[in-house]
Amino acid sequence: MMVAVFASMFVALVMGRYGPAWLAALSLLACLGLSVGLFLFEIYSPDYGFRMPWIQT
Amino acid sequence: MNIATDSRRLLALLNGLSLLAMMLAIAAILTTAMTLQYAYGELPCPLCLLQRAAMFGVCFGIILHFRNGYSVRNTGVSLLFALFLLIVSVRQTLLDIYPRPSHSYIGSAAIAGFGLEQLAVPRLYNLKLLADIARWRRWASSTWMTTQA
Repeated sequence: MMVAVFASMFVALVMGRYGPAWLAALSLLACLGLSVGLFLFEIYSPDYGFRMPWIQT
Repeated sequence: MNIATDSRRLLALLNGLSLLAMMLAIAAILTTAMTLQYAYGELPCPLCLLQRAAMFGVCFGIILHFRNGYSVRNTGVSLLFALFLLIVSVRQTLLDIYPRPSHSYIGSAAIAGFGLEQLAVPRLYNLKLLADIARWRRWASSTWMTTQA
């Protein structure tokens, strides 16, 4: 998924230079969406994640 | 040449300089991170990689400013990624303050202060946004006074 995040950012950069602007904006939004999804996965995954169960709130 | 044109040019110059300084700061942080990764073998964690992607996103908006001229849309792109960067870097700083009991990893962010630098990027951007809003309000009030008169 991290590869997808950086690939979509690369596509956005290339499209911003050579392609149509709407495709660059779409790739950038996809990059942001994938990043947010990956961050939420990192937080909530019980095995691989970075949750903090020892902090009692 | 009147004073209003001069001050407008000065503001535009300061705006460009602040954007350039911000992009240079982000480039310095990314270069340091890549040097630590490739020269010293410090593999980044997923949160570090997400912060790099967010910093690239902030740079993307700034590059659009330089390429297509100043636009609120480009500011929005940078601001979205700066907000994401703020959330992820706060998360990582909290992890450095309270490490997991099973593997007590004290990240390099807490030692070298990289977390603070990454926190500084969205703070800088927010300061710039506040300056933009103040300038816009001045412009709007002057336009309103002109139309009232």
